[in-house]
Amino acid sequence: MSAIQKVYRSRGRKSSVLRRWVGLVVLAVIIAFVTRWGLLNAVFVSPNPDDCRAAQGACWAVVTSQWKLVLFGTYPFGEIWRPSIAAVVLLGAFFIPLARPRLLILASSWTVALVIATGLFDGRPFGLQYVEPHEWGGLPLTLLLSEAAILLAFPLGLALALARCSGTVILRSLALVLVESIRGVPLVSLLFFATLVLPLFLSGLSGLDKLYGAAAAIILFNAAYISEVFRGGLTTVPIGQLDAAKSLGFRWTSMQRFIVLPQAFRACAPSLVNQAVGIVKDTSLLAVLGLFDFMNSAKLALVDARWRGNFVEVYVVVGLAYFLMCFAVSVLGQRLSSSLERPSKGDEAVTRAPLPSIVVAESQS
Amino acid sequence: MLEIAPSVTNHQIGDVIIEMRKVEKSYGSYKVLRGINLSVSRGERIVICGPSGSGKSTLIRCLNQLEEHQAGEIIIDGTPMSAGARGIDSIRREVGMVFQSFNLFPHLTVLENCTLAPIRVRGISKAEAEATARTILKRVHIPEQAQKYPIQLSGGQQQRVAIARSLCMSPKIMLFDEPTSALDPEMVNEVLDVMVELAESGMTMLVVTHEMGFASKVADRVIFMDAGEIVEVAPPTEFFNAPQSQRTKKFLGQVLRTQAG
Ligand SMILES: Nc1ncnc2c1ncn2[C@@H]1O[C@H](COP(=O)(O)OP(=O)(O)O)[C@@H](O)[C@H]1O
Ligand SMILES: [Mg+2]
Repeated sequence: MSAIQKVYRSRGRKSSVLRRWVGLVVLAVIIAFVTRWGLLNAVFVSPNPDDCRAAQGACWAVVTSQWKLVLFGTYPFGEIWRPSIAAVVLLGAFFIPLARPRLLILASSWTVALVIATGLFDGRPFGLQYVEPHEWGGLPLTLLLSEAAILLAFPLGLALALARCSGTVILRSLALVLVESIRGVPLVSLLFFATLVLPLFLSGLSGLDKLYGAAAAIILFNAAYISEVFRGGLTTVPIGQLDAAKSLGFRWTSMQRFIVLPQAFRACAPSLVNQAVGIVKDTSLLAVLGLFDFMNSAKLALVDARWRGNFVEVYVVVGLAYFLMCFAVSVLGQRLSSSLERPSKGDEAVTRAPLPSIVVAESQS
Repeated sequence: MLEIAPSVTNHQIGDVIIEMRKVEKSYGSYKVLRGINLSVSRGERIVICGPSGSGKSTLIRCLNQLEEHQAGEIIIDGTPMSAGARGIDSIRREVGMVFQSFNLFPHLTVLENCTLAPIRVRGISKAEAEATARTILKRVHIPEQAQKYPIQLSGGQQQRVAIARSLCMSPKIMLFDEPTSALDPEMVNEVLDVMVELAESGMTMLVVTHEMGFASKVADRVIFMDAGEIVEVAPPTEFFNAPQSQRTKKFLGQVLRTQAG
């Protein structure tokens, strides 16, 4: 080791010790403040905002006393048992593929849950009172939209990516125009376009509730991005893989399914998880259309002038809820992608058979 | 000098299985194949050699239409190769191919590499496909590696898996494109041995290689290609001892010198 390296090393060690102490102190201060403000001095339940003003800490009562608004937004109060059940169904479906991380299981359980949940929100399929989609709201709506958008945007994105890589010029250019024009505009303008402009031109869409238009916009927008991620993954599959597959007699579909896509998925899994998390957050843009997703519903708690001062608490609760949802999506994504993982070079622990001593190849190509 | 005595046992040569007539192929304006005429009989072993860029790979890749030819006819086992995509799939099933860079499926185990096509393309049951695969892995001398992934094998082992993967489709013809060129020298023979055994079993084989020892031992005919043309075709004894063309002589001089040294 050279003298210079030694100096750097020891300096690095000193500063890392110092940094660790500073870090610990800062952390302790934060924890102390959060505990005092958020727990010890906080008012958890009270119908009266004045109780909060007397206390030194957080006023969680702004949320708890108006929980119906925060959780269900504009959904008719008499019927909130319906979105409640819908939320339970959607959450249940979310956890099934967490236990058994298979794409097919995810797709089927989410589809079933989405159909049931939409039916409950709507009411008519179950012979219940009809609630129009623009009245749906709150946390269950965010769950519904997130799952629906994730479930639909991914296959659509994959289809767009395959179209863009296909040999057919028409397919390729159609996909190119679609993806590039969608990626070229902000989601907000796409939301307005889908819900306000498009129905003017397509009379068939004029009767459609704006919630469906908004959902379609979110799905299309994300599918465009997802298709680019997939395309990146597809290009990592060496051309020799296609040669080998074709020489064995594989047709295009089974070649994609069994040889190309499993490898492409592996290459782009982290970015795909990113996209899924992004979808959850995108649903909060529904507010610009006057729809009441969870974010917008929670803000209703501040409409009452007596609670208006407690916006920090509302946003903390909303932020925590979004964090949990995004974290759960991220964990699920990682479970799914690690179920696709196969050993990398020298990773002997993953072999199924005991390893006799072998010579490891220099490289594959 | 090279010992030139065909040592593979005598074998049956049957009717014509590959027929190429005036086959032409270009990339843009660049002609890669300039009127190839070749007819191969069932059970025949052909070795193709020639300088780099002479069109050897292109020729054998046209045989299973990994490359499309633009003019001329290619007829495999009675079926013309310019038919629709469906026809091509069904011919590809009967024509195995081994590549210089192995091209094993990295996300599948050795056994899965060998059973995927029989199951998904031929529709054979998993149990049957696995039984066949294990027998064939034994034939290429790596039965114990069935559960490993390609990346955990040496180059020679990977290439033998690639041969096994093709054989699992029970092909009528096997194409090899420089199967030992990407291998470290000490692994070349383990692959060539498997190919010699395959030749002894009566398989129709077209092998692009510069392994002249293999050619003299196994080939019924050796083809020399240069600049997109077949310059010379002859049985190995004649080819090595009495090459006709000046270009063949020059090429042989270069190849044999490097292989002796
Ligand atoms: N996809 C391609 N596009 C353009 N030129 C190609 C392509 N593939 C091969 N060639 C050219 O065709 C010629 C013959 O190539 P190839 O059949 O691979 O030769 P060989 O296998 O004898 O070395 C070479 O000059 C090569 O550069
Ligand atoms: Mg070549």
